[in-house]
Amino acid sequence: MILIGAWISLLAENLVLSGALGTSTLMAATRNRSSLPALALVMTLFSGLAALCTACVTTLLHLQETAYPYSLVLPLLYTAVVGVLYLTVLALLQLLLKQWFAPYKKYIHLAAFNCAVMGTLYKAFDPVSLHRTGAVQMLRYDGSYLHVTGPWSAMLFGLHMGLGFVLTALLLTAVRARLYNREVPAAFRGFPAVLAFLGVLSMAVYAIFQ
Amino acid sequence: MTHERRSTDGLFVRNAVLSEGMVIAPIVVCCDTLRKALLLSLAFSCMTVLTVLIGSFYPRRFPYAVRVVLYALTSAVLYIPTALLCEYVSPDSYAAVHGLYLPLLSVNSFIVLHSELSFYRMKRGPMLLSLVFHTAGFAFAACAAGFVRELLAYGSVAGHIVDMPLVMRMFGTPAGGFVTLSAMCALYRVLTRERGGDAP
Repeated sequence: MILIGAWISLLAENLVLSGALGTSTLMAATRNRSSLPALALVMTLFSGLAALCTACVTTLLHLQETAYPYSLVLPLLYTAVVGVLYLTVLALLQLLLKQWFAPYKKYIHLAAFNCAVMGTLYKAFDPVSLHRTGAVQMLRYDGSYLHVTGPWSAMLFGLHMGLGFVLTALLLTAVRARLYNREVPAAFRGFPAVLAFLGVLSMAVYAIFQ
Repeated sequence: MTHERRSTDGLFVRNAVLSEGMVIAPIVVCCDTLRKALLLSLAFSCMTVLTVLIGSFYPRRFPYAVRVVLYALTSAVLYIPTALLCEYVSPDSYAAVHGLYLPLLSVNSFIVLHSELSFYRMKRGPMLLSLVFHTAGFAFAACAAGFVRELLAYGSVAGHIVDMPLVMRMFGTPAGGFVTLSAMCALYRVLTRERGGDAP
């Protein structure tokens, strides 16, 4: 039941299907099947680490209850956290795995600064809400709620969002060849067909979970 | 047939949203009314044009990764006055779009990807012209999507009720945003005679 609940929540709280976040990255991720595992892994790790680091920073600086309009500064803080994380990961990989790392460098670039990772942070910490409440984001796991109130729950939230992205990427990869097939009318072939497919998935998720 | 690139291409011929699939999320989710689309276009224009322009002055000797971080940070700084401006211009629409998608514009593809691949390979004058037309292209796509979705979902145009025989609330949801954008992309392809990609 826990597993089913987790799968349901991956769909219900999906970044792409409920918020269209990371759609461009999704297109890039599914373009090449062989690169999907690497990109999916990097995206998930980045989401989790970014959420963990942001939670640590906001806790240390006591920024959890920052009121509007001062909260407008928080996106700058989140961008700085992702930026530092991005440069640190790049430097570490370059230092430790210099030869092995080169082919995967582009995935770090693609996975770090995109709407999916930043969107995870904004969804988790709700930086610019006009009316903040204590527990900023809730997530359903088999009937119980997980509140992003500390670093570990934030990391779990980030990993969850990353896995949701991977799930959508897998769904799209499975049908990609058909969406780009010559039998699809030329006007809709490719990108418009992908959007229509995501629209139908999003509609199904919306109908079931809203 | 080769097509020589012009500064004005960003408006329609190489529209960032309809042709290249960039900055889709705000249009799919936020642009369910014309007013929100106009506000989003204003925010996008302010943040993108200023960030790319300021970014063009950053030293090229910095590594690519550092430059990208600097662009994102610059954009996040510019987000603050942009958000205040949007709130001043249209408080109602601002309240509807401010939460997630306005700050997310600071990491849009124009800033973190397209700036290095395209804009910074031009001289500053043509770059600025091209940037203005690209942002106008985004505004065109956003407003077209906002107009169609508002009409179909709420039976109104810019808040004014129109006598529509049928309204479909689905067009106000992200699913409706995906479907509307898909139809717009297909129409764009018919108009520009652009062909779809082959099977991978």
